[in-house]
This record gives sequence, C-alpha cells and structure tokens, in this order.
Amino acid sequence: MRWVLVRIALRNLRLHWVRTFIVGILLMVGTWLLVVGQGALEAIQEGMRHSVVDTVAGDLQIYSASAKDDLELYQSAALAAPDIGQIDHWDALHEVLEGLPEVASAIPMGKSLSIVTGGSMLDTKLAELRRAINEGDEERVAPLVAHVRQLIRSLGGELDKLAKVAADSAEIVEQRADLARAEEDAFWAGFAADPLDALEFLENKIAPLGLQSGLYFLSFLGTDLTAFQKNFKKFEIISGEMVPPGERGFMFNTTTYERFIKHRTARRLDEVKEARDFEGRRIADDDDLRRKVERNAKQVTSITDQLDPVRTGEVTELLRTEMGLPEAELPELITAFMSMTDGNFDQRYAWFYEHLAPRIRLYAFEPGDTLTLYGQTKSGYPRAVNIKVWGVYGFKGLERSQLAGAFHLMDLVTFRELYGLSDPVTAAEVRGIEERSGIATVAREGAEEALFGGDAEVVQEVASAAFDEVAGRDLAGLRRAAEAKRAAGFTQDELDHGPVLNVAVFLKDAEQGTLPWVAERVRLAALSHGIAVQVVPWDVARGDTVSGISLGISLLFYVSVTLVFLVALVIIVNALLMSTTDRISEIGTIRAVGGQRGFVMQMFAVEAGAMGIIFGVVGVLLGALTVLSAGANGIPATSELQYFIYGGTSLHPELVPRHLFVAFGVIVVVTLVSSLIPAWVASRISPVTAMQTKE
Amino acid sequence: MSIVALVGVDKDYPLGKTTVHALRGVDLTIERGEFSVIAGPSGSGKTTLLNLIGCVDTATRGRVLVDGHDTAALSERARTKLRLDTLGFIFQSFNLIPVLDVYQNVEFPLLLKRDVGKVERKRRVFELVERVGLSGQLRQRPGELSGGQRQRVAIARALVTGPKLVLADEPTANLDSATGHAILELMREMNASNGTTFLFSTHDPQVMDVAQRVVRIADGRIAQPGGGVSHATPVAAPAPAPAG
Repeated sequence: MRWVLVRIALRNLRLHWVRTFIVGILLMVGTWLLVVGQGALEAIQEGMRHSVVDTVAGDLQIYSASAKDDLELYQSAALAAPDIGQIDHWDALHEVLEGLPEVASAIPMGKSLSIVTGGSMLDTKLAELRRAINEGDEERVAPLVAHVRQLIRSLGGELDKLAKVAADSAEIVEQRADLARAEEDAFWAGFAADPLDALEFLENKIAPLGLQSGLYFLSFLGTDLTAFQKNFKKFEIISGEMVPPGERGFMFNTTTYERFIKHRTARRLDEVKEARDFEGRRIADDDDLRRKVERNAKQVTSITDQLDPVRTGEVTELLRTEMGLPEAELPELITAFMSMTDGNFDQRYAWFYEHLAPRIRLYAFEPGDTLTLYGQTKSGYPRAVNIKVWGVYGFKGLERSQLAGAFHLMDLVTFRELYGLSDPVTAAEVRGIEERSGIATVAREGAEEALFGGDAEVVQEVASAAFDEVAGRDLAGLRRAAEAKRAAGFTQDELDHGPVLNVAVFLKDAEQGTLPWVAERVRLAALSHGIAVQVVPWDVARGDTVSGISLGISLLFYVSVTLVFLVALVIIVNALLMSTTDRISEIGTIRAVGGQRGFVMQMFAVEAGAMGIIFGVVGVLLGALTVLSAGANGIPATSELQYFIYGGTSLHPELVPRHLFVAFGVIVVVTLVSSLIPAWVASRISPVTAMQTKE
Repeated sequence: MSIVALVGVDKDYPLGKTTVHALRGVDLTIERGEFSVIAGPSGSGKTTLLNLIGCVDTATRGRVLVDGHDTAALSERARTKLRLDTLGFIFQSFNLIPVLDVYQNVEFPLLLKRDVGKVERKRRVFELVERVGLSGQLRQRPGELSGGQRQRVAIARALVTGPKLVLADEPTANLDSATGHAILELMREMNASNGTTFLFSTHDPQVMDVAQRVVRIADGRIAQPGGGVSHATPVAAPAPAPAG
C-alpha cells in the first residue's frame, strides 16, 4: 500500500523532471543555506563570545547592586558615562569569589576616559633642549638648537596666514615682534650665554604660537594588570613591555594606537596599503584612497617639522636620488614622493618605512614616555596624573577590531586616583578633613534650616576660623612625597584593599546555558557575606550595542532562510497544483476505482516528501561539504566588524550533526506543508472526471 | 435482488443560468449476470446514467440502488468503498496510471483493498493478465502498449477485485473495429465464465450486437424497453420504464 504511493510519487517526479529539477534546486539551496547558515551563525556566536569573554568580560561580570545604570562594557564612555556604582572592598569580594568552587579567577576593573594632549613639535623640542641643557649634554644641544630655529622659521608662515583671518591685530603685531626676536642671530648668541632665560622666553612667548598637534581621548580600563594578562587569553604584547607587577603604568591598545596615535602620514599610507592589499581597491578609481594620497602630498610640514637640519639634509639627498630631482628642495620632494599611484605605491611604501619612518617620530606617544592624563573624578572634580607608558598590547586576531580595541590599560591604583575612588585610608583622611573643617552632613529635609536658619553666622565663623587646609603643612614636601609614592609603585595589598567598579569572573566550566544560574549562586554567595552585587553573564554585560550586532546577524540569517523557504513553498505549491490539473483524469480514475480521498492526499504528500528527502539529503551533504571546507580553510574577515564577530582573522564554522538533522527536518516539513493545499485540491477532484473523454 | 435498480431518477446539471435535465424519470433494473448495453447518441444521458450507477455521482431525485445500497444515503467514503468492493470500471480512454507498468496497474485496486495478502494479490494479477493475454507485457508501461492492449489491461484491472458489476463507458470507442471486437469477446467470455454483470454505454452497433439486452436512451429518457437485438437469450424481468 505505502509502496505503491512511493512508486507513483517517484515515477511522477521522474516524468516531470524539469519541474522536479527546479523545485529540487530551490530545496537544495534552502537546505544548504540552513546547514551553512547554522554553522556560520554558531561560529559567529562563538567568535563573538571569544571577542567579548577573552578580552574584557570574562564569563560573568559583577558590579554594585546600587548601580544606577546597567553595566555595558562596550558603551562609549564619551557619550554618557554610565553610573555603575562601585564595589567598596575588592579584597572582601575576592575572598568570597575564591571560596566558590565554580570560580576559576576574578579580575577587578573599572573603565574611564581621559584626555591627553600631544604638545606641538616645538614644545617637544624645547623640552628636549631644556633636558639637554640641564644634563649639560653639549652634543645634543647644537642639533636641537638648529631644529628649534628651523621650527621657529616655519612659524612665521603660519602667523602670516593667521593674520589674514584674525581680528585682534594688536596681539599679532606683538607676536610678530617676539617671533622676529627669536629668529635673530643676536638672540641665539644670548642663548649661548644664558640658555635658561632664553628658553623661558621661547617656552612662554614662542611655543604657544605653534599649533597644538592634538588632543587625544583615551578610554581605558584600570585593572590588576598581572591578573588581566594572565586570564584574558587573547592578550598579547605588541611592543614595549608589560607594566611589571607593583608598578604604575599605562599600556596602549594597538588598534587605537595605530589609528589615532600614529603619525597621520604613515597612518594614511597604512590605510591605503590595507585597502589595496585586502580589499583590492585601487587609488585610480577610489575617491577615498585618492583623497588620502592627496592629503599626504599636501601635508608636507608634518614631516619636515620633525626633521632637524642634519636629517633634513639626509632626507633631501635620499629623496633627490630616489625621485631623480637633483635640484629640488625637501617640501617639493616630499610632495612629489607622496603623490603616489597604483604603479609605484608598494615600492614607495617600503621606501617610506625604510628611509623616512626611522627619522621621524612615528607615534605621538611611545613606550617610555610619560603621559599626563586629564580626567574627571566620578563626582566631577578635574584630576590629572602622570603615568608612564610601558608598552602596546593587543588582542590576538582582533588587532583591527575597533570594538575589541577600544580601551587602553592602566594599573588599578592609578585608576582609582584618577577616577576618585577612595580607598579606606584616604576616605578616613577625607573624613578627618571634613570634621576639622566643620562640614557636616545635613539631611535634605533639614538642609534649609541647618544652613540658613538659626545662627548662620556661626557656621561661617567656624569654617573660616577653625580650618586652614595648608596651615602647618609643607606643601612642596607633600607633592614630592606623592611623586615619590607614585614612582615607588604599590604593593599587592594596596591594589587589593580598595574599591573597584566591576569584576570579570572566569568560571572553571563556562557552559553557556548554566551561566544565569551560576551568576545567581555567585550573587547569593556575595550577599551572604554582606556584599550586595549584581552578577550578569558576559552576553548581558556586553550591552545593547554588541547584543544588537549579534541579534542583527541572527535576524539576517533567519529572514533570508525564511524568504528562501517562502519562495520554495510558493513554488512547490504551484508545481503541485499544476501537477493536480495535469493529472485530473488519473486522480479521477484512482477515485473511481475505489481510492479514498485520503489516498489521493497521501499521494501528494509522499510526492512532496520524496522531493524533500531526496533534495534535502543532497542539500545537507553539499552544506556539510561547504561547512567542512570553510572550517578547514577559514572564511577571512574583510571588514573591521568581521574581526570582532569572527573572534579573529577568520571564521571556522564547525560541522555539528544537529544542524544537519535540523536542516533536513525543516526541509521535509516545509515540503510536506507545501503539499497540503495541492493535496486537498486533488482530493476534491470528482471521480466523474474519469468518465470524461479526453479527446 | 437486482444488482442495480433506478426508480424515478432525475439528474439536473446547472449550466450557466439554465439547468440541463440530463436524466428525467428513469426507471431501470439490471439483473445479476446480465451483459447489457445502454445505447444512445451523444448527449442522450447514457454516461450520466452510468455515473449514477457507478456511484461517482448522485441523482437529483429518485433512488439509485446498487447491490442493495441506496447510493444517495451513503457517505462519500462509503460510496468509494462500494466502488472498490462491488464495481469495476472500464473507461473509454482506458485511464491507466501512466507511471505504473501492466502488473502494477492491474494490482492497483487490490492495493487499495487492504485485506488482500501479497500472495493472493500476485495470484489474481497473474491469472487476469494471462486471461487478457498480456503475460508477455507485464513490465511494460501504458505508453508502450497499443490501444487494444491498454484496454485489456483496463479489463484486467476492473476484474481483479472480483466485482459484482463491471461498468464500461464506450469501451471500444477508441479502438479500431477488429480490436474492439476482440475486446468485446473477452468481456463476453468473462461474463460467461465468472457470471460478472457487465453494463456498457455505447453508440457502437458492434457492441449492441454482442449485448444480451440494449437499453435505448434519448434526451434523458429510456426510449425503448430493452431486449436483445441479435442475441436471443431472454433477459429476466427487466422493468422497462414508461416512456413518459
């Protein structure tokens, strides 16, 4: 009985092979898409998990229960810093976490934003000159003086430009006079006699005339750097060294470092090279690349300013030979050199890095430099700290992802200072000052009365008479002590005994499905020790932006699969309906000789089902082959975002048997569903039609 | 009990805004073992009559009894079962299932009857295929057969379930006269050996010649009480309907 249905179905499929083939191709594409899509989707989810978990989040994130905002690891601090409260005693929480069998490690952290200014080239060179003079290094003084004089000469031109647009001409006249003085040989003769006096004039009057070379916003994570390096698997040192344990220090993230801190000309060259090598774009037919090349050709001073007279001579000679222009001067040579075409780009790019790059400062800040970071404490007070740059780090495979590379690193102790997170000792000190100054906490309801009611004058009197914050204190000594303390670093104990903003927790077994339960256990454990925190899995902590990406990708997949299947459904329905009209007489006959309606319906269901099974199997096999091949060769990331969602430079989907079964199941169900209407229509064909002649 | 009895049967078809009266007041009885013909020109109502008897259609008025069942009172499902168990069909256009071979076409109704075992199925199919003389073409498909061969397959298919009544709608219309004759002989032989009742519709004189009884129909009415034309075999108690 069933066999005859299969036989009829198969014979019909073969008889109408064109139709079968068209529908089959669709079903195959659908199944293929399902297998490959599921594989890719799972690989992407896994890739994103690594991009988030292994760079910043850990498996779980812990933050204060009294946070005003939700923790969002990828929210830009520049927009509106979310208030996630603070965990007062990291050591207490750390102890609780270490006592939990599920927890493998915990890393304290906090995120904030600072501004750092890169001084102008004149600032930098004057600072170097002052150092050389202080250290009595005569050899370095002469070339620096030459360089400074060269920079001052080029300032004249800038001032002329400014004079044309500026309103306050009196000021400009004065500035001109200063500049003229600085250019005179007499001035430099005086410099030799009293260098410090001359330097002060240059620093105060001339240096401000130079354009500031940049204002940098640095988003950073303050953390236990040793624990961070040890636990975040993707962490790697790109250049310089890691901040040693117990030292204060700053680590640049390579992504942002390359994008924003690197010399603009070099950066543009890198971008053009990447676009050419990885995206196959060409300068000749790409507006963006052409603009970059034009800018490099125009912005000559960004290179010439960096060259002292000796190097200017060297580079001029080299470029004259390279460009075959024996008479040309440096600016002209650089413009000619930087006017690159697709034909000479690679050769000139290499030349740039071989001959020019070593003679200029490639990055505004380099390992060994000290940054002055300007930030705001949580409560809004401006704060500045000096911090040494030790190195540049990156996340393996994510060097080009802006999302993963959005933050730099610094030690937790400096972070606390900058962010105004007070440790218990400082807090006690502040309380002491408060007491001595007569500041009292007044309840909101009673504030008016307390402040203005009664004898308001007493309050004033107390404040002015009883408190002099500098009385009896050696301010210079205090500053020196603070500097010394900074230079001396900190102990692990200092790092541990203090507040943090949030904590990344790695679990021994990070099974995705169990994370919410583990999170709840961790929360309760902390609560039982009197620490009120919120614990969220990494995929919650990553925030809406990144979740949105994940959701968007899933949606894209499901929508396209749904579309393919809707089309397939419509076409199958159509094909089978055509089949019913073609076979009216046959169906009528079957009904006349005693076939029930159900039999006819089954006939169509089996026919559709057979198509689903045959082409489903083929599609599943093709899909499996594709996934295997893609898994072996990897799908290379071609855009900045792809690095993040692939969790590295390429995506390696894995063949999961479940995906094959799901795809096969879906295809069979879809074909069966699509056979319902035609089958019903066919079953309504009257047996009378069998009696009708066909001529 | 007669195998077929029609009492006061009307059949109307809507045709646009008008109604076609295909059958008007038909009274007809077919006895078991008959080999009869319903004769009439095209459009006279003979196919409609056969449809009603074949339980593929129901009467507008009147009663149609097939093997004692009032077909109008049966459900669609029960009528289908009645067709399967009691009736056999032979069509003018043969109506074989094109994707099945000779053996499978003949076997088909037995597969619809779930109560016939595999061995019995095979026995019956072989027996009938042999009787219609197609033992050599068992694995050929309808497309590979001549018209006469196809109709032989159809006859085998109609008889394989052992029906009480075989209805044949113009079985020779698509065949040349020699083949048609051979087919009729075959059916006659089946009628004689099994006692299966045969009822044809035709306007072919050759068929009427073979029939024991010819029921003439014109404009939806039984025009002439049936009687053998060329065969002298008397027919038991037909109840001819009054012409009006």
